[in-house]
Amino acid sequence: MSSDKTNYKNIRIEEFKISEKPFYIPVADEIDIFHSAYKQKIPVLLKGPTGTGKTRFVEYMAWHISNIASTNHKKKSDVQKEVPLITVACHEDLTASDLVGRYLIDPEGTRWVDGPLTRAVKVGGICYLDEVVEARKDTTVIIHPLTDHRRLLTVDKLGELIEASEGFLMVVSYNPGYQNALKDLKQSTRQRFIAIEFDFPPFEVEKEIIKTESGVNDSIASSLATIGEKIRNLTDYGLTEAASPRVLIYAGRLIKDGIPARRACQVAISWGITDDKKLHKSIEEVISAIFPN
Amino acid sequence: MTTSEYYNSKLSKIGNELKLISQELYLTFLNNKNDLRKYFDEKTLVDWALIGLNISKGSEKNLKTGKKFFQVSSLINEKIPLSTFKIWMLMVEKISLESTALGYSYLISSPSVLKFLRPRYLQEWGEISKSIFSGSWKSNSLASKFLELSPLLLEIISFDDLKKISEYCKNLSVKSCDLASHNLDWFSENLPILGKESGDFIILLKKMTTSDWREINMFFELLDLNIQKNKVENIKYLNQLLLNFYLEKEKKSNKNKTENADIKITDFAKTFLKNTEKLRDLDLSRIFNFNLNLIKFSSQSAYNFNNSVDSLLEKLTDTQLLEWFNTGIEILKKDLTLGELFFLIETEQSQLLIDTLSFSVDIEREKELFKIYCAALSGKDLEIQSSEKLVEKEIGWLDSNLATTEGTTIFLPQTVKRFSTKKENFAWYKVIATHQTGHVEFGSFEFNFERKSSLFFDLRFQLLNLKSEENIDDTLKDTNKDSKSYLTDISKFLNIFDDSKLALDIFTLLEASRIDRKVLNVYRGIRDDYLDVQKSALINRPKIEELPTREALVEILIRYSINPNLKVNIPSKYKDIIRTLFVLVDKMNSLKAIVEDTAEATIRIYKILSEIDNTLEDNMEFEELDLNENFQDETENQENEDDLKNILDYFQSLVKEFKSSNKNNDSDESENVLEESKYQSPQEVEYRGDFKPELSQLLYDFQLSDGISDGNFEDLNLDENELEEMIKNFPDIQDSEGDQSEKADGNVAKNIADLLDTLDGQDSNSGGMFSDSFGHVDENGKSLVPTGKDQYVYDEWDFRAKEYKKNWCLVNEKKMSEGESDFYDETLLNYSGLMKEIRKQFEMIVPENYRKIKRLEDGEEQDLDLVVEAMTDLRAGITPSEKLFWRRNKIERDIAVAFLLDMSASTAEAIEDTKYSRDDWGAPDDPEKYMEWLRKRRSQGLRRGYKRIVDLEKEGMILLIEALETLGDFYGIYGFSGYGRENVEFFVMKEIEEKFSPEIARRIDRVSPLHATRMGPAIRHTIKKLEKVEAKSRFLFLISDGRPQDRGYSREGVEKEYAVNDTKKALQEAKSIGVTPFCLTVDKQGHDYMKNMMDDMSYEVLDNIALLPSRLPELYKALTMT
Repeated sequence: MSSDKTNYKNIRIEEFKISEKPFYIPVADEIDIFHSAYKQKIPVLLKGPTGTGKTRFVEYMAWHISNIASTNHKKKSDVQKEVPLITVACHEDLTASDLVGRYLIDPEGTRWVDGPLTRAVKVGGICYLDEVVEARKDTTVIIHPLTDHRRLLTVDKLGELIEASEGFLMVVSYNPGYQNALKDLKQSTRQRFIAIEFDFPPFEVEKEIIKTESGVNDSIASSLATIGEKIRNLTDYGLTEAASPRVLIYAGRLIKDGIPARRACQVAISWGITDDKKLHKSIEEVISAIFPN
Repeated sequence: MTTSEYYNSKLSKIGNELKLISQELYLTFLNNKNDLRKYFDEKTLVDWALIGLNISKGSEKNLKTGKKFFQVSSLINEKIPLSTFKIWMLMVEKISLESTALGYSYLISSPSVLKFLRPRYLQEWGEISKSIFSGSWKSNSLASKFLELSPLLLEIISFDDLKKISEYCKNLSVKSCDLASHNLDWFSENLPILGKESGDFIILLKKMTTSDWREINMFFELLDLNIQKNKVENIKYLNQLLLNFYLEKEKKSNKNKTENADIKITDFAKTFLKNTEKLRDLDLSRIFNFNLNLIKFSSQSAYNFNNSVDSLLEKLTDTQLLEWFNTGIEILKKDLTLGELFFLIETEQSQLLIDTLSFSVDIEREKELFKIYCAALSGKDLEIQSSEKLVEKEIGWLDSNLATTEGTTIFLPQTVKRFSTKKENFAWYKVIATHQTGHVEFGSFEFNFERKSSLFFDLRFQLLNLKSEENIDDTLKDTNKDSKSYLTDISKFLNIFDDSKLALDIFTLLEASRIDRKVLNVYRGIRDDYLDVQKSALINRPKIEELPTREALVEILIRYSINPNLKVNIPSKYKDIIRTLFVLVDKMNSLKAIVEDTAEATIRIYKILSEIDNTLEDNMEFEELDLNENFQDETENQENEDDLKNILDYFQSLVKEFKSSNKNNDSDESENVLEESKYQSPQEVEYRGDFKPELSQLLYDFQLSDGISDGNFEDLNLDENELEEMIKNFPDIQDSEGDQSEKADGNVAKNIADLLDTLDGQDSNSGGMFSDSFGHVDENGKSLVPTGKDQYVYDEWDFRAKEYKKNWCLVNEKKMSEGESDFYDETLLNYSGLMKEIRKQFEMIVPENYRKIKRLEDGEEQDLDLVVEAMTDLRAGITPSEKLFWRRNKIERDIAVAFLLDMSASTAEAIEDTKYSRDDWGAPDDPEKYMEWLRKRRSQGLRRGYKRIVDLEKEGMILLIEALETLGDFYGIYGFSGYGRENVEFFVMKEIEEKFSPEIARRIDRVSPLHATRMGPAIRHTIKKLEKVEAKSRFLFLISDGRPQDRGYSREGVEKEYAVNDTKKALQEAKSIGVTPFCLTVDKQGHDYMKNMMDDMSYEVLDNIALLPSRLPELYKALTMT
């Protein structure tokens, strides 16, 4: 039995740390800003279209704060322990108790289990609520006291208040583009955060990203970046969301793996971003203009 | 007395009587009697004489007939046996006694008829002729004509057919004798042409008389027309088709199938003849067979098919057509209406199939694709248009086969058919479209005189100064011209050169080359196609050896710019010069090259070329230049100061020359002209299209800058004539004007000036200058502007042009005035049973909102009961359930709905249901109450004895209001109607946020049929209202009685599609902002267009209108519960 090796890793969420440096190319001063915000305990709102690197940025910052920042500060006392990153992908059924925790039954009665947010608050990690507007409205009740000067988490079922530990920071992301007006963030929520805007990276940066992430050569990366650029010209023509760097990277990976370039772009880009047949046709013409058969 | 004596005396007695009538008649009688005596027995002879006598009695006419009888008799006798003769004789008598004229005709025609007719038919022939005669004098002459024409006709057709003609005449004569008589003439003249088909033709005509006699005349006109054109084959085919047409019709009527109104037979004939006119025999027979096939299903489909034939044959080959056709037949088998549309190429499937099958590429089909494609490439909103549209404008572009652009619109040739497969044609099309888009993407029109080039030392500025020196000298008196103004930067640039045409040609070729390189670099995917196109562009270029030197050099440059690896024959003498030129062209290969580099290179090349005389040298030696030889070494690539100085000096010298030539006037000018031939622009390169940088920049600037009033043009202060004058000097246009005859002189410049003028007045938002004028053929008009308080403007979707017409419709919002509340109360009373039921159903929805869902594996909290249960289980050693949680139902009812009632005139239509049509429906039994009731009704003026569609709409609405109030949903009630796009009426019965009140009930009372149905703007206005409301789910509920229509919104034929498409678009807009549209229609024909209009959105066509009030709440419930 003991020879049975598990080929998966079991990590408690509050112990999840980014140990390897994630690949991230800064476009502007976002690293400095985030860093500063972290120091000042100001919650951060990341906004921008899908696939522009919001999640990657948080991972990168989690790593950056744990590693780079600590080396900068020579003083021992200042050295930070590694900051855990606790990510919660929000969906429309996500309630406050999903974040805070709940009682579970065990043979002896009930047992309280902390939710991811509570754990982050206790352990002092970065809590990243992805697509926060998707979550139910009752979550705001929890978020508000945590994101202002109080830094308190109310656990009303236990009748407790938990003060966030030193390293805790709440980071939320949202995509202003496709969500309808109803799912917009409330002003009272918004104004508890500083906002970093993400957009599609400039051509050269995007090319680099594609190259590194997918491993394709320079010319293919540049072609993919061109395709991305061209398709982003089409937002007025019925595309709800333009081709993100992510899909370009996917296309690149497929190409790297031997899928013909045009086909790879078709499945990764054209078919992915829209269901409109007419747009498909046009986009595929663009692709075929850029990639030879 | 012997029998013979008896007969003899009889004869002489008859003779005497005849003598009494006329001596002449008597003599004729005698002559023929003696003749016939040899053949006839005595009794027959007497009978014969007696008949003669009988028909002779009476008027002069009778006499004539009688005489003819005697004369003809012996002739006839020679040809037929006695027995038949007797019959004939009796026939003559019979006919003559009925109508003398007819008898006469019978007599005179008989001998010649016998040439073609067997004697035994003589009698029948007489009978059928007689049958035409119905007593009127018109039918009399018709019958006579028939008799007289019989010999002629019988020569061509069988007696059977003649019988048919007689029947035809007989039938038709009941309706119009003249027509029949006219037709008889036609037959004798034209039946020979039809030959064997005649019989069928007559059968056809017979059928026409019974059902479509009014069309016969037109039908014959059609035939005449085609006979004149010698299209007899077509007529024969048509004949067969029409016969089948009737055959099918009869079959159907036997089966009692009622079909949609059948098409008119002449319409059918007309389209068939018209569309098959140009066909070859082979095609004709194929088309015929197709038709034959189709007629079996529906004549409409064949009719539609014929309308499409022309374009089908153009686009499809034989096998392709067959494939398309068979697909159509399959559809026809399943769905008749759909199939019919298929053959009219009105369905998407049909169009799509043609597209995939056909080999040619057509702009109409690819427009949308290329619009998006070009927009993606350039990042600009570009229109795609056919070059024809540009040529039609007469503003300088002449060749509709060439692609071009002026920066906002890409003009492409209408169709490309140069290759035999679609793939190749498309590839070519894509190449030229990419090249033109390249001009936009890589900034050909953004030439800025002041901007520095990236590869050259900029000589422009100095050269401009030189030039202005020249001008200062030239126009010393005119101080105003000190700083000369230019329309565009390109104009300013071209002005540097004395021969601006040469400069323009160089600029054009270099710029095209620059674009080529850029495109090939970025768009590697079309590289192969692009190179193929370039290769083919080199075929059919003029021979270098035959061109004057300067032109030859330009030609060499063009070829080099297209393909640098090409082997060309070059004049040995200029080998070194050519190398220098090539180096300059190669500069355009640089990725850094911008349009200003093109300009700088132009200066350098111009300098070299203008130094060479444009002569045709006789003994020029040519050699093949091996371009692979590497001559582009670095030293040559760098410009040194000497070179620059050289150029400047050269231009300096030109200026001096100019000044001196001005002084000595034309003495040595004329010398030059003798040697040198005038420089001609090179032959254009097809794939590069017709690039007019100066004109395009002018138009481009204009469109970007909102007209002459701002930007570059502000300081110019030009009036129209000056503008025209300046435009005239564009080398772009000089070129085209030179090609035209003198009559067009000046037109082009004027047209451009006019165009700019209109642009000036136009709102820059209203799209490109070439886009709006090709739209839907509605009332020509401009955008509307709201003037009043409650007026709103909305765009309208033009599906032909695939774009919005900006601010096209004006919506007037009005609060509905208040009427009586009786209608409301009565409805509730009348439907009280139903109402109770509805309310119960709706009430059941409500509590669900707050109900906890129990027994979940995960939820907000544990359910205490369940936990206790689980604990007991645990203690008892039973596996407890894991479903211990509860959760609140996530759907909280948060709904806003806007109801939009169709108040068009057609809702005034009475419904058929008789149950409701009785006037005293719902009258109270109690006499006292009855009187009261009656008085009330009278006072309301509600003396309508029936219910209208709109009443049912209202009733449904009222029931729904009651239901909605129990639910607490937000709802608004609106109505719409209107007339024309500038007057869309929008009535508010209840705003969404408004609370229900008795006033609202009174407003609903006033909902009544008004005018037309322009749905689009009404929907858009409702969307706007819904947009403001905060609710989880929002709905737009459209209740209508038919397809959208309005003045300029729907017309016959394709135009009705316009309204449907606009409505569809409006509904899609609703969907795109998260409003769920739903449409309920009571139009039974609704299925056809609703399918298209609602696309993937839901709708319902209510077959039984009377069900509307009860169905409406049901639908609402179903719609909002999901």
